[in-house]
Amino acid sequence: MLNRIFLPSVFLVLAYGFWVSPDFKAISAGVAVFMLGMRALEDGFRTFTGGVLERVLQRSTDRQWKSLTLGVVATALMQSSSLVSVITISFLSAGLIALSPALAIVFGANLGTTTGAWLIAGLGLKVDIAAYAMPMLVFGVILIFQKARELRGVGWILTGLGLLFLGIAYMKDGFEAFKSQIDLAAYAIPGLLGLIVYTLIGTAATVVMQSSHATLVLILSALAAGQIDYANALALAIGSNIGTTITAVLASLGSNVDGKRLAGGHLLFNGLTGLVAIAAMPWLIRVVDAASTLLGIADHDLTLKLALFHSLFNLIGIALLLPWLKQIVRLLLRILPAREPTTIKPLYLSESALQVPEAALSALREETRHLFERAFPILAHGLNLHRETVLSDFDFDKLVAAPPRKGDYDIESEYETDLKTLYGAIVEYTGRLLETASPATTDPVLRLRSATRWLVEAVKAIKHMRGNLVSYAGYRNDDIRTEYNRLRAMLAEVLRVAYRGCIDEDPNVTILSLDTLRLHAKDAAHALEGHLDHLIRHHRITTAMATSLMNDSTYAFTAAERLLDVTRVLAAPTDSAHREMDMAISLSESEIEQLIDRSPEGSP
Amino acid sequence: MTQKTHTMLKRLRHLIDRDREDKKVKRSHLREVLSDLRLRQRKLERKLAEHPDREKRHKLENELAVVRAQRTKGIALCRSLK
Repeated sequence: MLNRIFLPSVFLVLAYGFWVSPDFKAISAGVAVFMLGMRALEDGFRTFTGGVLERVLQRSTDRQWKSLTLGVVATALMQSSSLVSVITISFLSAGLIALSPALAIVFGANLGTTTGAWLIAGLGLKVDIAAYAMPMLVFGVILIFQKARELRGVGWILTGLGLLFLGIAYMKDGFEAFKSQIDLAAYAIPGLLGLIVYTLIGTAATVVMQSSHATLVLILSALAAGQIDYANALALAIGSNIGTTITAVLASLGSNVDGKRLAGGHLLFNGLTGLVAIAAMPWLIRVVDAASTLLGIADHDLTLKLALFHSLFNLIGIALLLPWLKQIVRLLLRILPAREPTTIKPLYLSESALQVPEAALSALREETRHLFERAFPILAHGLNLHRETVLSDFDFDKLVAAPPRKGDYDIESEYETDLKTLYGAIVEYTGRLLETASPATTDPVLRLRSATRWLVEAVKAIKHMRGNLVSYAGYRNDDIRTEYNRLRAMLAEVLRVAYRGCIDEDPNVTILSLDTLRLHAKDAAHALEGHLDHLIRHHRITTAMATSLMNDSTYAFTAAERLLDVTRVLAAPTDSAHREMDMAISLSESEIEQLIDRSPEGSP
Repeated sequence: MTQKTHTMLKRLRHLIDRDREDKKVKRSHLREVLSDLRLRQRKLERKLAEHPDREKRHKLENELAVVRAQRTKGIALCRSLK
């Protein structure tokens, strides 16, 4: 929604600006080229992740000062605090580093990123860097087209640097020319109000451009051209520091709790540092002046003084907050607690039941039902169906001609939270029960253990076919969609009967009644082979679709078979003589095959 | 007849009786199942005669074939238990 209004508005404002002022066009092009350069540089460095960078990160986080230095050095070298943050988050999420060193790296990255301002102020605005940009771009692009991954990485880094230089040159020229038309310095706001207003502008500009580097280079170019007041430029730099954390916070919304904590720590650091810098601005300006004299920076060299200010206030932030790192970590852990995955615990498997084999067998039977109850919604959602639909009297044949539909469901995480623990508990319990079980209870225990395994196999089979099932269920190609929907309908029918047999204990679902479904499933498999031949011969589906369908039909029929096997165990009579008779009359695989062969037409 | 032989004969009779009892239970269950299957078969035959839809008919035919095959197996099993 926001994008639908925001993006066209930005386009309109930019288009109007380009029409009114060619210099504004040059400045905007400079920002665009600069940001493209940042992206290329990031991509280049990313080529080298998965090796050296990770090893260094892993080895350099045992001490706080090491983590901090790593953040400074890595960001200074790569000129991308976001890349360092992303790698840090990935390490944090994988449990390879703790939150405390991760925060120290991010604090260091804040200082490391200020080297960008030094480079731009010291070199970019004083030397004709566009002259260096051209050869870099040429060499970079040649390397990008090489086969070797490392060479391509170097190519992207060179191209990125070339584009950065080119972008800076564009911005510098744009502001120089802009000066002759409008004097932005006339809009300077003095005092505290100016400080607050320009901090907010700096924050907003960074959020819009998603890059504090881009904001800084704009500030420096404008400052070099005398388009903005020095005090206001300092406020803009503070704003850019705050803006970059808002970008990180927005990016962390989609990440896990570790990412959110790190972004929270980043926000806390930059926010507090920004507040301190605003509060102590007159004092800071004096310190910068004194330090500039010490470092030999000319009094009129405002861009270098701004770079110094940028580094100084981040350094102050580190000095103020690093001693409180433990407390910050505790605060973040309290504000953003990790949500424990609510794994399902066994309901019936008690220690006391193990003393009496019959009681243990009954508990095991109930727990297997419980497992089925948990697996049922996973299986239904895996087929893109609501559990209510499966349990209703809905005619699944209608599914075959269903229109395209998309689905989004994480079957793997559901398996992890809802089934895995329970399945493990059942396997462990059966193991213990078998140690003391009598010959009469051994068989039923083994059958129940097999039933749990088959159930999990059915979930896994649905998981494997789900990717294609979802994408082809949303396809415009009617033929492939219909075939996948046929598989869904067949499985939904089996699932419904399985639920009625295992959970509802419907007396109509028996070992014998399940033979009909076994025949239907086998019949559907034979029919699918016929359909597939027809569709391939008449080029109605692509080869990729055909192979997917072949693989997925195997998964689908395996899942159906497993579910029917589970139901045969759970819906069987508990009386062994009755069970024996039902099993004796039930049709074998070969007898079912013979029934299919009786009708050469197969299914209509 | 010694006491020992008497005990052995008693045990043998008990075993045979248990087997007989077991068979009786199985036969009785089989009769119930076969009766249900016969009813189901008739119901399916009636349904099949009424259903014009080709796809539904095919499913009913499959179901009927399964019930007939199960009945055949059941009857043979019931006879073998006599």
